Amino acid sequence: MISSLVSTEGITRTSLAILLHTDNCEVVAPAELSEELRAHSKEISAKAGLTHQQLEEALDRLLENVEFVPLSGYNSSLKGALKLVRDETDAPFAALALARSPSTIITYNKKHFKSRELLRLGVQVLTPAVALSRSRRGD
Amino acid sequence: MSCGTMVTETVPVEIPAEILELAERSGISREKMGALLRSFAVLEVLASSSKLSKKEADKLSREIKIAAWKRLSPYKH
Repeated sequence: MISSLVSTEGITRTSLAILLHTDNCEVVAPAELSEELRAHSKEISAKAGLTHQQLEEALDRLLENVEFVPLSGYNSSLKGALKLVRDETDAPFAALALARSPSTIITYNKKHFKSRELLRLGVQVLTPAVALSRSRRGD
Repeated sequence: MSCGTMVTETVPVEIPAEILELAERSGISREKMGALLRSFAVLEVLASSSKLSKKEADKLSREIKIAAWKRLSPYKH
């Protein structure tokens, strides 16, 4: 989401827009992440040189298509997820993906996830560009 | 154009072929296509005025993930 505010990251914006509106694709994220994104929105807008209102309006529009899942929706997978990530701050994403398996984690930090082990549990880890190309092929 | 204190500006947004191809292939409804294009346009317009660098975006993303994890880590056991 934040990468999409980098002017050169056109592929991220394209991927995000398509994924948010594809019929057979449910976009989910940990609710705590959304709360922290909102809590940091003044800092993000200041660094981006945007008004806080501009950023909040964009977040409102984009996040209306995202289901934010509270901890209770993936808590049972959190301990196991810690063994499948190389950076523990990514554990909530892996835990949620496991709870919603089969599923796909879309990230620029593929190396933070133990992709082979996750795939065996029904979770793919893809970059936005690969996710977009697979979506174009109808995979 | 200026309307009192409000100033509006028209910003051209180029729609990538991927978005149009997807719509054609999946037979996406007119309503959904409108929503998709609006989301994309909002992001494009915002990004065109944004001064955020990739490095800053990565740093902010990391800060947000750490803040979320601080709240969730007590439940990891």
